[in-house]
Amino acid sequence: MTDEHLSDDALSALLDEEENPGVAAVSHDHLESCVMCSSRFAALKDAAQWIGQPVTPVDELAVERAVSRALDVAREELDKHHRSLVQQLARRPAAIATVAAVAATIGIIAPRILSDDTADQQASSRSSASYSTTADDVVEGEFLRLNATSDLREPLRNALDPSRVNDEGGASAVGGEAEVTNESAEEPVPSSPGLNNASESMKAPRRYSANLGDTQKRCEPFARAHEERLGKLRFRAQAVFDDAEAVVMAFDIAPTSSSDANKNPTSQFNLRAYVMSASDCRVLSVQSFAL
Amino acid sequence: MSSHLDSTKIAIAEEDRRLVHLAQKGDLRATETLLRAHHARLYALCRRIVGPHDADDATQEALIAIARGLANFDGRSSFVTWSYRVATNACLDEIRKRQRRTSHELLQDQSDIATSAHINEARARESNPPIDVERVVDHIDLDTALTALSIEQRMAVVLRDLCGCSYEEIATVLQVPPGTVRSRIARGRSQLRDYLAGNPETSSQRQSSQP
Repeated sequence: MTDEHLSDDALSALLDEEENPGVAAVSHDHLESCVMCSSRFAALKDAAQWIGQPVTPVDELAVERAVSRALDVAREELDKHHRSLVQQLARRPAAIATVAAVAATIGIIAPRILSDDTADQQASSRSSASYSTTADDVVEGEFLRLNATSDLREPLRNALDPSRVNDEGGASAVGGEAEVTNESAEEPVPSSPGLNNASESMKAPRRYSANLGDTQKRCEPFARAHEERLGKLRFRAQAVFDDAEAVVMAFDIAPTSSSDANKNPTSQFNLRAYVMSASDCRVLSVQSFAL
Repeated sequence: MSSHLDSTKIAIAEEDRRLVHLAQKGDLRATETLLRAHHARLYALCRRIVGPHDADDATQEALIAIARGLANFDGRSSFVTWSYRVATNACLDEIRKRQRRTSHELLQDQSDIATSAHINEARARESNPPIDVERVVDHIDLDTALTALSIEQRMAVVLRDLCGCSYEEIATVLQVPPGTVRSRIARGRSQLRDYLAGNPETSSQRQSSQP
């Protein structure tokens, strides 16, 4: 037992059970016999209890407001994170395209280079990375609601060349000129019901929130990595395809040689339209057109 | 009783961990659940540190900072401890903002503290059983009395006596050694008690009598 009075520091720690056990035992002994210290201990305990009295909570509306605002921030952070992931993915196809171009130069397509077919040479040596699309060159279409990729016929015709777009046989091409990459493949001809007024059904009043230019910049490398022959971007639009927010991009494709045309009747097509997911740039569908 | 409180704390920590994990994977409903579950606790802390006038703003900033920082929360401390750290930083920001106001506005704030506290208690009386008048006075005095402490002491005593944090947890929140926490709590309580007793000299007299 100690005759020395206990400091407020020691009494406070004793009250909170934060004192060293050996010291605490001695201090408790002292408190039993020291009126001054036990009185001070009680006073500090009162102060602690007084500070600890509950705070009246705010009303539910105030909680709702505060939580909503914080959730808005959480959503923004999530969007930023997703955009960053997609940007990282977008960098990879560019690397793949570069490797493919280098491989082509080394000799993977050497037989084609050695042939007399200069058109093929031009196509194979053309790197997708050599095209730059400026805002002035690209026709921007209205928001589209697509049931099938063939629904693009009319908007492309209206945007690019009203007299010449012809998609006959586009998706049913032999040799896979027009690849259908989504699981729910569209019909090659627009025979689905409800498409008689295609132009009306495709015009939806809403646009999704992402900026079209940003989406195009993000997704274009994916399309070019998917197909090296893609040339200049001619058309872009926001769309909904299979209930997914999508972006439509239509590219020139390199004309093929006459010998190819004999083997592949679809080589007449020189426009390739990609429908891609706006969130992660997956290829949802591809369709060829002749311009 | 102590073991019951401990097991409650453990259960809360487990649930928080689960929700944090989901929120970090992008589950906004988990984020919302977390924010709602901890709003009252964080508001209480902010209320006692910055006063009733700025408590809403401080709490809002704390929730926003939590929503923003959740992705980087590494789980080394409990979510509760981490959220207290975020909230105390938000309170410091509010206090700095307040200090930039003119002296006239500051004086107005002092009387607003008492007035706002009285209004809040009046609202509470409308929805709750009648409160003892002396307790109402106590509430007003506590808000005023807390402003007499330094920010450091105020945070320490509130984290201990209102929030129930251990010295170790408070040290993590305030980023100071546990020994510093111990002395801030002791001085804060002592100053408050003497303030309420109306004899601010008492603590200094006692100090001189101690060996």
